[in-house]
Amino acid sequence: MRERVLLVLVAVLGWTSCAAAQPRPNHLADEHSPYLRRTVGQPVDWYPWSEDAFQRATTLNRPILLEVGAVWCPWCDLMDRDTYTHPETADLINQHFVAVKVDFDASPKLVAQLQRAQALLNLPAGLPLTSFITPDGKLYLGAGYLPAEHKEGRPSFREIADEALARFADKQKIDQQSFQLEIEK
Amino acid sequence: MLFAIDNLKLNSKLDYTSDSLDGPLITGDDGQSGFVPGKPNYVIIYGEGCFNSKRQAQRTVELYNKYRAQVHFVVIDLDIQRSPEQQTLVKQYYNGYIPHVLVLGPRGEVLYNQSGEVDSKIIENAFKESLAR
Repeated sequence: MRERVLLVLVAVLGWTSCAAAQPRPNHLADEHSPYLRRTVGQPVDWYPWSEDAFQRATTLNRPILLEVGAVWCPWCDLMDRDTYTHPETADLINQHFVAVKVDFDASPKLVAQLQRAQALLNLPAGLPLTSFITPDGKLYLGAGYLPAEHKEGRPSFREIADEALARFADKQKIDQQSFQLEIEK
Repeated sequence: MLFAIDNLKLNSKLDYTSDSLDGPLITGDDGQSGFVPGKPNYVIIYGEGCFNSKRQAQRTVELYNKYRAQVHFVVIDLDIQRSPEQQTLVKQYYNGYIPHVLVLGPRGEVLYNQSGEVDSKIIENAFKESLAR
């Protein structure tokens, strides 16, 4: 009997320690989109486009990092594989932003609004679409594909993220150059 | 004095059968030009990684080779920073969907304005209508 109890205890402790070793799943596990579901295991704490995400950004006073991509977009795939699985990049995002991921194919009206906003601000407006948005919905900076490290003339994700954080601190500048999105979450 | 883009060519490095992202879809001289008055203008607004944009880019270069003497061509790449002249067109006509195609008359009047791929015959009809005036 004593041995059985010990075995059960070992099994429970083993399961607990295994569970603790797993990366914490982000908030995309309940999403149906294949593009969103493939990033469930990423170290970035992704949220879907939702009231929760904007509420969290307001509470923490952080900018929203919004990533729009599609399953058929090879550069979105590359960014998912290299940039968003890069441990330091993921830490930077999780500590300073609220990360939101949107499937291009699932939200055409929202994406059209985002692409138009970036185009009007003379920012890259193709896919992947990387946007930085205030908690009250002002898109103030954006980019396209961003590698984890600076390469072939392309800025790294960190370089753009640092710029996004610096601009976020200057509300006056944001008011001068940004696009107010119509937010339907 | 404004000049329209000239010497339009498809980017030889591109794979026009997929969504690969390999740079500008169309190359040419003075690629940042905007609307040029005095002739009809054909305007394409595209994204580099978009398959539909690539197909419309192919039609654009075919139209350029046929109408280059009579029509100004404006090529707006949304993946790179754009000139103030091109931004004027983006602000006025781009609705968030790519590709977007415009045909403007010699004074800027809108003869065709739609998102998505467009059959070249429709564009040619708009050119002919404008040139006949």
